[in-house]
Amino acid sequence: MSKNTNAIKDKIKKKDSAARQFVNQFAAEDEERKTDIKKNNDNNNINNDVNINNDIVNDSKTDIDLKNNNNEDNIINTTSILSSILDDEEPSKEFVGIYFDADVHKGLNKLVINKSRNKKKKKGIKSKIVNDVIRQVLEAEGILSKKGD
Amino acid sequence: MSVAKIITFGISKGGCSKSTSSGITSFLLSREEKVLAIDMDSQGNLTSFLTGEYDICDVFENKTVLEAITNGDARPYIFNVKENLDIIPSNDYLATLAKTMYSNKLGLDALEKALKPVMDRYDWIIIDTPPGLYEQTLLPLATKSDEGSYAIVMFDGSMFAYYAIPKFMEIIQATQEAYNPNLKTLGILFSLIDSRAKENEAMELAVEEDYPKLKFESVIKRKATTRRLSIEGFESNKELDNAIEYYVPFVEEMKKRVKKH
Repeated sequence: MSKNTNAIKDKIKKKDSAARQFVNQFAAEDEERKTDIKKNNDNNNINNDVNINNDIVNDSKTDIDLKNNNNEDNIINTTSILSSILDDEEPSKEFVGIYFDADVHKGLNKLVINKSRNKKKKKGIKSKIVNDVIRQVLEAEGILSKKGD
Repeated sequence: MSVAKIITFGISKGGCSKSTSSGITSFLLSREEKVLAIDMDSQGNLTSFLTGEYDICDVFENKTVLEAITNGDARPYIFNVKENLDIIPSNDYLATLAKTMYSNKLGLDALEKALKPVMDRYDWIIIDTPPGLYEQTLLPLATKSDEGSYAIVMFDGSMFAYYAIPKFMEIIQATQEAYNPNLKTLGILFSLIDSRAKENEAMELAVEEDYPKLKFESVIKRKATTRRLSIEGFESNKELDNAIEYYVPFVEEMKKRVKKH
């Protein structure tokens, strides 16, 4: 058998089946995802071991009703928070370390993936989401003045 | 603490009795052990078969295996069928699984992650799959269990099914190599076999030659009472014993093979 024939025979035998190609594409995407997650973690501004001090949120003087009760001051409007992400100028930042509940952390990661999908600027989105949610709470409580006031 | 053994019924051809066989197997196992049935076919036949519900899009809206996989936790999507038998249902929306997995960046371990909180609640997890190379087929095969992960290949005695066997075996092998090293092919189950068909013996010989010792000794012959099970149901059905007659020895043989592994 000639060298050429052998080479072609090898190509035929080595050709992946549809099943193998289908499965391997997932395996390749898994590897890519792991690399992306590592890059995001390295670039993130907030330490993932975040501890929210419940005393601030649960202070009896600041009875925050997070349910929808038609009181505009106390409603956290996630649509308006998320729509403003990436559009505003960025003020100076300070690094803090706080703890999240595991399911909150997981939900936040999911939200970041969903919201950063089509954005050119992906760096720091997690920090912005948390920062802006807290800002709204503090503005509602009069601790911070609203932007533009 | 022991966890569930996973059995996935599959073949890359429709109408080979995957749903009926996985449903009756779930029912029989649940007589003595705890079983979770999972419907991974957007047709929802296993769901209808076990729950008696045919309006599955309305009844199980947003409460199916699709949501379990997307949300990473099967617990809110488990419905009780009868004592010892639960189901995670399916409906037509499961057809969007590929798109959902892509959007949420989920891998082939997504079902395994969703089942992790409940693996120790059951002795068996029985999974019905659609005919073909889909995520709905791969996810169950990629789901690992410390007690074992097995595939049962369905065969209805037809030429189409004969050529579908190697396709499904290829899917099993590819998934085993990439995701689930402990995945094993438990056997090939001859089902819907028409006693009158002349080619039965030849088909049996052909399959034995191609896949030595894989064929189950038990053969599920075509029966009108089995077909009527989807109409009469499992409860208060006078024909029940007749309908499941061939499945009783099959389930015993299946359990023996699992024990051997």
